[in-house]
Amino acid sequence: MRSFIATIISIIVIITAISVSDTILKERSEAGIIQGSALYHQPEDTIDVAMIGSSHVHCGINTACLFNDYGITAYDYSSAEQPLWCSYYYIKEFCKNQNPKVIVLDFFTPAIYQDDYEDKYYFMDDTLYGMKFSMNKLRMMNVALDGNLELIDKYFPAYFGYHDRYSQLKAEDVKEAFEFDYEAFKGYSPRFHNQSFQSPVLRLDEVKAPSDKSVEYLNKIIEYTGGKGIQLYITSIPYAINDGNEVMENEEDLRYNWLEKYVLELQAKGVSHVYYDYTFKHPEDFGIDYEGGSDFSDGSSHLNYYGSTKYTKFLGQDLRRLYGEELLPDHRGDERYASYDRHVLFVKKQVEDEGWEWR
Amino acid sequence: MHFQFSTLAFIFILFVIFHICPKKLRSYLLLAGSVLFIYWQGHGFCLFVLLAMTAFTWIMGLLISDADKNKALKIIGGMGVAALALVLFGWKYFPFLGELFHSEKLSGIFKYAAPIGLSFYTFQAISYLADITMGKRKAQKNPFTFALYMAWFPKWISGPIEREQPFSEQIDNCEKAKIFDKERALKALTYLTWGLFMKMVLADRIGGVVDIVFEDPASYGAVTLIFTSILYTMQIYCDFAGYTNIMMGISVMFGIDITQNFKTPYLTENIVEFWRSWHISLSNFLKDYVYITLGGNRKGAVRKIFNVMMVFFVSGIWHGVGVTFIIWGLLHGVFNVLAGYLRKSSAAFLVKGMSGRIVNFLLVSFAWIFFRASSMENATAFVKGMLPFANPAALTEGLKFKEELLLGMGSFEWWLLAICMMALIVMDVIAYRKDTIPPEVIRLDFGLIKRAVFFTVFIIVILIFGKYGSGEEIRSFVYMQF
Repeated sequence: MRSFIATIISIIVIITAISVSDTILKERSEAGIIQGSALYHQPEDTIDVAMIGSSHVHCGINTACLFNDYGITAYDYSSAEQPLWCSYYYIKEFCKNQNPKVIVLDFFTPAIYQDDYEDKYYFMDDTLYGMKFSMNKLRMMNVALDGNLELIDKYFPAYFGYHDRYSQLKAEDVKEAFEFDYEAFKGYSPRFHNQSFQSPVLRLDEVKAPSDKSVEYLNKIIEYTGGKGIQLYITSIPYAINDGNEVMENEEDLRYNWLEKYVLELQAKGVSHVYYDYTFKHPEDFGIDYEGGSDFSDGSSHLNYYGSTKYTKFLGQDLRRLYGEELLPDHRGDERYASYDRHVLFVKKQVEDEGWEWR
Repeated sequence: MHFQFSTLAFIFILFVIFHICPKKLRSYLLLAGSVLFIYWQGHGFCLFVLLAMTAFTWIMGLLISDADKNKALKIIGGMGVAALALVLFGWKYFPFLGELFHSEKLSGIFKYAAPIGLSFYTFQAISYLADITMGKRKAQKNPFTFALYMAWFPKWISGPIEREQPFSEQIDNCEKAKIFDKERALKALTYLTWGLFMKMVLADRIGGVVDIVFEDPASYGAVTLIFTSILYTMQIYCDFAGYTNIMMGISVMFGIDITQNFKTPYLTENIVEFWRSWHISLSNFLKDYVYITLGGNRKGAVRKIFNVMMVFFVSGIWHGVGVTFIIWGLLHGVFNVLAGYLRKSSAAFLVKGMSGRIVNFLLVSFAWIFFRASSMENATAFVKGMLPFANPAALTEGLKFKEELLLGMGSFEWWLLAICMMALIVMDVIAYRKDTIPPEVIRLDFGLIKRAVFFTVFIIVILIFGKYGSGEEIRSFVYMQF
């Protein structure tokens, strides 16, 4: 009996210690991990719009602006270079505790990266580490890592990947691990730098499909959202398209052309819940400043705070236009959404601390 | 074998199936599991070589089963042993000799790199055939039992070098193993915990520092180099003994006890005792099949010296390819011979008691330099650098914090290493005094509370501070190269 009790106590202590160390040591990169982790802290059934996709989403869609200006409750559930097959499982994960009315899906990753992209696993930790263990995560890992056992060993379990961060931690990291207001974090990670680019030039006469795997998972997303009665709003958050990067093929516009045509074909067949906003065709609606450099933050042409606010103001308007207040009610003033009020204050403070102007 | 999800899952699944399947089928299951593991980790080539050697050895064994009564069969047995030895040493050394003598023919005989574990299971095969040839035992008639002896996956990569008869007797034990066996569970957990602590917390932590210094010894002062050689001395012990403890823990899960390979070797009083406590299965193999076969100490003093030097020459070339390994082996040979003479002289204090322990530790530590060095140039540069008068750098050059790192490690890591090393030394001293090993002290001498505290603390330390996972380059077990 004593032996049994000693064993149980030991197991409890070990589990507690690992759990506490997990909280402290867990990476909280704003490139996807914290977006993934914070989802589980959101009050149930309070998010009406899920923003899915790559880092262009959590840099470019200002969830504070959406709530402050429109009362729309959104969450940037995105990660660095998130491929469509991960987006599919992300959407399923999102729908476990939330009932989104609209999914906004950014099409950047399938447009730019094809299956032979040699760094396709580079940001996998950002996509994987924020998600809790589940069959859904295991399936996502298997698809994302192409069933490669060596890669699965590298990223699973997630704790194996960051348990050794103890030597990098400072006292404030430990404090933040327990005091961070995950509920008030809605995925948006504003950037406060400036970078200029050439204005986009589109080729509209050619189409090129993304990879077969991307098309397969786009169709799965369409089917899943259709089945769940969720509106699917596909977009291309403004960035420096066909940037001239030597690594990439610079054919993103051709893939957006394909997408536009594909969505029209779907709509013609009666798949009415899918909509595509080809943003590069109407840049005047956002007024994004490419060459002046006031709206972009870095070499990957992520929108900075000003750029994301400009785009988001349009997005909020467009979502309301398409779906109305019935589907996307104005939740301002509703106590159930107090976490969004805190979120707005949180972002406001970030903006002030950086010396930028709240917009 | 790395501490990773797929390996842990494999062991767990095998463990579950082992306890579900009928007891009579357990040995076949373990054989199937071992074959699968070897194919998965070593691919088809490794498995093919192992199975080919297994088949050859088993058939040869049956053929010479009555060798003790038949001279012709003895000769055939001897040829079988020679063939195995030729495969092993040829595979390791022909490419090296081919390069040395610019002979493409020699290099091309064994085109492919030696498969993982070749050194270990070839010696097992040799011990089996040699025992039959010498009439010590009869052939194992059951091919599956023999195959399991050769391929048992926990010992496939880096031993121990088991003897067939005691191992095959373990098969009965594995058939009797019960899922809820407190003693077996405790033994497995103890060996696993202590082994993982030695390997992942100590050995792999030290390894990074050692690599940095050995890569460029000319950049470091004499004290730094001496310090590094001592660190490597601890690294290789923790790595190999840690690995052995882990493999013992895994084997015990399936009711199989494998040979303990290490018995607090750095606390031994002289080099002769050292080799009775370090890589015990190899020492016993070399004693039984090289030293005694050559005549041991029965043919006079000069021959004894020759036999001792041969044993350590073979040990050197078995451990690795290159002049440095031969030098390492011969150094141990010389130390052994000298220890034999010093024991009866007025300088016996050098091979006895505390002074003997210190001298022994320093000699072993010095020899390890050649074992670790990447080449003779590297070894020479390291040794030269340890001599203050021959090293132009300041004595403690490299032994200070630069950008918060000392030899690649931060202060927290150094403190952690120091505390864990103290824990290891304390446990080794306790075990040495009780003429046993630390896992047995924990298992048998620790009370319930003490043991519970040990497991709790050490498991937490391993999981948080162990060197594993994608954040670090996983260091292969040092002995996996053999």
